[in-house]
Amino acid sequence: MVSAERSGKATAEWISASAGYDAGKPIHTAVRLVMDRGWHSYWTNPGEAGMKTSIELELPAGWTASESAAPFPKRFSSAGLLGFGYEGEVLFPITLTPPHAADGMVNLAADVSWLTCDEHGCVPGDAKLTLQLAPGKTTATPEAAVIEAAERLVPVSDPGVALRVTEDGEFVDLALTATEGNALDVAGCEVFPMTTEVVDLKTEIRFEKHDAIWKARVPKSEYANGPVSELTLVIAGKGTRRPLVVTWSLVEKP
Amino acid sequence: MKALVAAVVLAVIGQAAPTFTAKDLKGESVSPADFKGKVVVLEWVNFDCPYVKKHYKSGNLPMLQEKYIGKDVVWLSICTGAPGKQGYLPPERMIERAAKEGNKASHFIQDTDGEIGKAYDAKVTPHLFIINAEGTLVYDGAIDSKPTADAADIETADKLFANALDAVLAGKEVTNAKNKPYGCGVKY
Repeated sequence: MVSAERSGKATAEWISASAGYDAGKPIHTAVRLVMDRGWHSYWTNPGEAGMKTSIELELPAGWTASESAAPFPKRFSSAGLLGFGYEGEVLFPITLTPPHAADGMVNLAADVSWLTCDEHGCVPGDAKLTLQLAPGKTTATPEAAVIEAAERLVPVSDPGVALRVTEDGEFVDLALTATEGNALDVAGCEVFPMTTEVVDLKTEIRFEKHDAIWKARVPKSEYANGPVSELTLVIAGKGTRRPLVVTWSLVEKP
Repeated sequence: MKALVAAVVLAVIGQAAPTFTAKDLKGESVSPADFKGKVVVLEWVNFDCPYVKKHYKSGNLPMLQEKYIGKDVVWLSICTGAPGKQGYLPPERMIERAAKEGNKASHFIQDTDGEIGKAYDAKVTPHLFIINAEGTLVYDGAIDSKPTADAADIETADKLFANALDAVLAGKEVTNAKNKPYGCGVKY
């Protein structure tokens, strides 16, 4: 059973690929946000204004959920400000895993809050969504296909691809390399900075190949404070099978 | 009637703040130059923006206005936007709306041609600026650290703007002078 809630300029609902669960087996679900025509909602890095869509889950004891996943965004300009986000509808996939001892009907809740803006102004929205799952009944629902399609829009990391970031005065230099045997083609791909306040957002980042390295140069953000310590990029386009997320940080993680 | 030094972004931390002359809602002429020797706050406002509503309905901005005007700060609330843009009201209606929202600014200015906003590069509402007693721009940024439209977040947010203003009034250096403000886009 799913609930749809209207708030502000959008309707939110929590949909599931199956009506029920098998203990210990993951269930594919998604929060779907449908926005009124002309209104945008926002990505993890919303851009120059806006607010990222937030989803907080309330799960029964023992249930776990995948980390909040956002599909790669669209770049748009609204009221002269650059934004990263969505229009029409967007699905945020959430994979739930019941514990091995799970039994009985369960009720899960998700607190969703978002901001939608159009050319003239902004309207926030929030909804408390519920999902009820029965044991068994794990045949695919009509929503299963659209949830699977949404999962393919969520960026994934590739251990064979590395990002290196260096600074040169007012600029940040980006270098992408792939390990031996890994073909990497990011020509013409869209690049979205997920970390805020590091690079200037108005410059569209485009990687160009120099021998075996893909390079790009972008001005620092006017809000950059001190040396760059971390940068996460999402890369999407023809050359990537799945949208890619790649992170560089100053301190090597063990 | 407004006059500007140049029609480009002039607001740079550590440099002389851009000057302007504008009429407030009462028809009085206002210019930061009038207030040399006093600390001046510029607060970009749009009462229809959910982020501005967060700080007005909760009483946060009116409280800050009253508190710092009490410390001899001059507080200018500025609404950039031509007639027809969201947030604009004819002056008599804006006087009513500002009073209804509890706005206690020293002066309320309607920047209808956007010149003041462009000189400061005011991006969103709320966007806060602080000019010290010498006329130097010392803060350009957010009101606080939680970029949401939820008033419940005010209490636990880092008070970025208020901390900066306290530092200026104490004669100390502002440590976080420029940061990314959050809010609804200013309409030019």
